[in-house]
Amino acid sequence: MTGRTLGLQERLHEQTPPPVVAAVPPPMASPAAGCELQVHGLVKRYAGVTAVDGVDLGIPPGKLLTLLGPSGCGKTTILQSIAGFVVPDHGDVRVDGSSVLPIPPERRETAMLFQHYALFPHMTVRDNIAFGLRMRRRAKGDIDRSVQDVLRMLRIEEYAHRFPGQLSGGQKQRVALARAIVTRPKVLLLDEPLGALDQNLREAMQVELRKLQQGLGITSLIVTHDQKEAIALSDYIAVMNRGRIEQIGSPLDIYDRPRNRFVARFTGVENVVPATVLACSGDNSDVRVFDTVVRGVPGASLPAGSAAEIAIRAEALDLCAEGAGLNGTVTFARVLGAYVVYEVLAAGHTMRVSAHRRDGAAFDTGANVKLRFHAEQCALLPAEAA
Amino acid sequence: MSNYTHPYTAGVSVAAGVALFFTVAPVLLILLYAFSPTSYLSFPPTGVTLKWFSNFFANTRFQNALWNSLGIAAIVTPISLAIALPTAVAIVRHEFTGKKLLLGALLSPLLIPGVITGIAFLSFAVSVGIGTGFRAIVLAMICFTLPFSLRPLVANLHGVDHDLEKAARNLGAGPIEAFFRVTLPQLKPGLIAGAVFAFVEAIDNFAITAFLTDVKTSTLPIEAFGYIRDFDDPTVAAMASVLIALSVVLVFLIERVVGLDRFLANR
Amino acid sequence: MKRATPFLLITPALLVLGLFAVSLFSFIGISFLKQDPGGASFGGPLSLDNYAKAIGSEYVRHVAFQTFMLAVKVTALAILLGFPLAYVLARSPSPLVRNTILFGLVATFLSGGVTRAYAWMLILGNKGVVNSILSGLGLPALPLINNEFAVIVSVLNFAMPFFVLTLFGTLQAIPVSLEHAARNLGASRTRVFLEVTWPLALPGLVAASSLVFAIGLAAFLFPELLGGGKVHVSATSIYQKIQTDYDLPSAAALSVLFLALTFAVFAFFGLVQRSFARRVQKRQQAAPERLPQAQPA
Repeated sequence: MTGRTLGLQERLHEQTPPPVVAAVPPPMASPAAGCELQVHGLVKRYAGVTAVDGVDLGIPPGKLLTLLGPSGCGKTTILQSIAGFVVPDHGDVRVDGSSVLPIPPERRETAMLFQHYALFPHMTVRDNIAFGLRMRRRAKGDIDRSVQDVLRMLRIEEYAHRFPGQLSGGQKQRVALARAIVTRPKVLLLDEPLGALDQNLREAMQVELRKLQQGLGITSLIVTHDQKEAIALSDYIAVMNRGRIEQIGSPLDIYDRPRNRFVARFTGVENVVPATVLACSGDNSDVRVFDTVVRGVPGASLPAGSAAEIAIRAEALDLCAEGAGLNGTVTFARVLGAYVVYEVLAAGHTMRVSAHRRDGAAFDTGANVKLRFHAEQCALLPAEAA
Repeated sequence: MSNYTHPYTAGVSVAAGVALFFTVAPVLLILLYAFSPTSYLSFPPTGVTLKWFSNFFANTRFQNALWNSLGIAAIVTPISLAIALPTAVAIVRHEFTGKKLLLGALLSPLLIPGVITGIAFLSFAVSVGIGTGFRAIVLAMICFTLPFSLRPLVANLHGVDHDLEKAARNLGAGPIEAFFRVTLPQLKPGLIAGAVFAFVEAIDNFAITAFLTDVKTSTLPIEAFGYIRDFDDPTVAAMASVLIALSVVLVFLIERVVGLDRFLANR
Repeated sequence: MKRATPFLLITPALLVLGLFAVSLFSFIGISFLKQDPGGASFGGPLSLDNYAKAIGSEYVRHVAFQTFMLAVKVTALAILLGFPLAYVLARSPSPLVRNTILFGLVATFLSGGVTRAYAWMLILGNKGVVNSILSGLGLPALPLINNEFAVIVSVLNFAMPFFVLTLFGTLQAIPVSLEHAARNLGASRTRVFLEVTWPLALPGLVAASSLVFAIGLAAFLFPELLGGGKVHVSATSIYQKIQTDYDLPSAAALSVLFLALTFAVFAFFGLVQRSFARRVQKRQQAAPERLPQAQPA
């Protein structure tokens, strides 16, 4: 898994579309040019448990990478190592090419947004935001101006004199964000930034956060276990499990082309079925699945005869009353507003299918249906022990 | 590269170390002195002996005082707890006028210097006819240890979910049975903390007891005080070591049964 | 039965309280009487003479001042020494360190007052540990005992577990993430302490300090054993009035005056604590909820 940094950089520059800068309130005068963040071979062990097992990643200037993974996968340890609260056993953390490991946390310029905001309860919003600038001994007028700028940018001017105990969750979030960015950090670190918010608030904040980050061009790293959030916010996603990176790529990369079962499952793939590889040429394979031959499935390159798995998302499956396709029976149906989610028994497997109500009449439990999918919408995964 | 991830600087560690040493030094010294073969302290210690311990146990005055102290503590502690328990229930689970006043009044003996309490009790005991001696000390100690047993119990009970008792009632248990079967087991930390504080105070109290002892009844601290004034050998250190050993055993017991963290959370 | 329950429950406590109150108030009552000179009884018309004598006495005023200053010194030293220890106890990453400190504090606390007074006599005595070491190094002996120094040291030592264990609870309650956030924003560890830890620890510090102050004011055993007769505090002077002068009414009057001083001090501490509580409460008064709305630039 090492030596991936170079390949990563190449892939990143090929596949990512230029960032879209949405209309945003004017940023602070001359935003700092984004910094490049690199992590090389990071290893950290705690009392016999390896929390981080040789992780490499790089974030180009101004981009946002999300570390996505379940609790205990090591993502928070990496975040803490970058911020300076954890000293890794091996490896390096570099900002713009120079190592930050010898630098104590207060001088690293890696501002962090904490999971429960960590706003100082005994200081007003204004004082909270001014804190970082005061620590850097800026002139009072300078501080007041910067604080005012950022209050306006995050639309929290009217709360400036309030205390954190008087704010709602969303307001606290914005204050925490303001406090982090007012110091023009080299890197912005976010620890489960939206986890504590209600659903409706979360989606609105996702958009705000992204617009802000892009507008300011701050290199950012988010840590989360929420795959929908990762896909919505990031330029790149690194999926982690048990201290290692399973896959790095753009959100659509991860979404369309998971590399293994863990990434597929963790990003919400509903159906993973066993298959056998018949032939393989480059990225495409012909496989035997559901007792039929399917040609042109993208994904892993495996020798003919290998056991494999196919990942198919619920929305990639179509149901029809008749015509070509696998024979199946609907065993469960659930209407979710715009979508209907079915469980369909076909070729011995229970498949999850989600169909837009626009696309035709709903099926009842017990209905006989035909199941169809496109080979290009699947991903071939190497088989793993259960 | 200094250890910058440490939550505090080396200076703080040093200051804390000094403070801890200062706090435990007397206890350590006593233990050292109790085994010293000479009646003065010598550095480095020249040997180990148990003669001061046998001195202590052979001394009739000390033995009487020891039995008195243990007896007083053994009687006072359960009574103190028995009074504190229903009081805690009333304070935490019930509303009544004057509740705050009552709690303040119950905790006030802690604020009044022991000397005053001692003299007041003495004059009262004399005027009522109880006089000095065992009974008077027991009565005084029950009064004085009540706040010690009450505080941890109140704190503990605050944290116990009342719903559990209600669930027991809902399932058919009577109020007293529900309390004893459901709530009381959860009060173990508070009861143990209260028992330990009451016990230690009953054995160790000096200021109040000083006025209530007489020729027939003396307690360990009073005897030790007298001995120190008159003699200059490690016998009292031996006595103190016995008490320290007792307190160490208590600490281990607390750690085993309740856990030091939980025990202290109830202070 | 429902209504009667609380009263049934508190009856034992009320009895105890009654006993305590009766003895205390009858003692206060004695303060208005006079001791028969040379006799063992007291009586006579009620008067405030004892109080007048006490308040007018230069000696009594001196003792009150000494007692107060002793408490101040002990409290100040307790804060200086005890705060780092409480902080280490609250924040140390090593369970061994934490358990050692806890063990030491609790074991010391449980080992009693007379024991420790005796230990200090051994340590500070003219032929005690400190002076033995000094003379071993060829340095002159220091007068460390039978003076105010010994009293301060011993009272401080006695109060330490109370102070540290009380303060430690407060410090533990301050979320570590706040201290991390401050460091993340550029504060050195010292500045984190000044800007975040200290302000948030203040209420708990006041509580711990008032506890130590109470212990200092009421000190009896240590001044008696280690003061060499030179350290006159309220408790020892009251004791003297009984043991030496056999003057119970005067002792009672002194006690009442002393209690008045004590309660005044606690009223003050209580006021300080309440003003802190009010400040914290004001910071949390709910402001009307506002959801973020799409705003024009």
